Amino acid sequence: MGESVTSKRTHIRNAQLIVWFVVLGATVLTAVLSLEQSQPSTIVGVILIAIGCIKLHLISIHFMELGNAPLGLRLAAESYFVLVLTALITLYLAA
Amino acid sequence: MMDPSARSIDSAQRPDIEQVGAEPRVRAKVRPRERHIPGEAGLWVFILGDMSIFALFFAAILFTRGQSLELFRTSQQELHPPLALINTVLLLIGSLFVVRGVSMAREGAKAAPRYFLATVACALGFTIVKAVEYSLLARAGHTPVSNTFFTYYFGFTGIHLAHVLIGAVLMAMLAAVTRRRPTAGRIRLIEACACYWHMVDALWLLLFPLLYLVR
Repeated sequence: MGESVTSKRTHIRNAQLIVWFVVLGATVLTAVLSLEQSQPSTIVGVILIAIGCIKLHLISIHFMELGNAPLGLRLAAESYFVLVLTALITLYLAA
Repeated sequence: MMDPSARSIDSAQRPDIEQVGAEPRVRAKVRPRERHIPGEAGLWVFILGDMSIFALFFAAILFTRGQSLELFRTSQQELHPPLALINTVLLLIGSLFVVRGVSMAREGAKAAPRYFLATVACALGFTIVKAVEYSLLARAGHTPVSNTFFTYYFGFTGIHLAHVLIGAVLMAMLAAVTRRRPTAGRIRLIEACACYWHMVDALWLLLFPLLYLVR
């Protein structure tokens, strides 16, 4: 039992560390690529917004521990992300 | 100081906290995958409410950008994205420290306060870089009343900076709280403050591209 709990804790820590590297990598990569582009690009804009929302989602699930939260709270958070992502991309494309 | 009866209520409400022996002490024993609300239910009303307000800020940026595309693009050129990227990395490092600090605190490890103090250092670093950024813009003649873009820029980043400073105070408090034995109430407090910090970090991860990168 003790070993099982320790193993689960180690698994969660490893998952959080992987998510952290993914978020950091995505942040640096998208920032560099965006600053390198010479002309404004709609596709790049959509990708930046989408990746920003995905990072927000990853942090809430793995760092704020919503992945382990009761269904009602999880659904409220998931609805928020879908709504924000849809609204922001719509507003960006409408410009 | 909590009384023993309050602790036993805590342990009854939280399946991840066990009462140890006949002693009215509570030791945090975490069963990681059992479902529970991180922190308090009321905290999530605040977090989702705050995130909704920021969602309106994000929408306002993109909506106004659509109305004044050229103004936004030319004003964006005056910003300093490398400084904002440094700040993003500082907040992310702070989040990693918080994750580790919470994990340590649940185990009652003595190292926990150090992680929260390291997060305070990240928050102070963020504040210093932001101050440098604001002063560079001010020297170039850009103020909150220069145009709509800079009104949004200074307004929204200023509100976010206030959140970072509140987060720094909370992390300093956690550094003090985690010096003491973990109880159910303290673990809930630690989780609540940690969630606040992660929210501040997550909101910046969207504010950063919308103000600095999306053209």
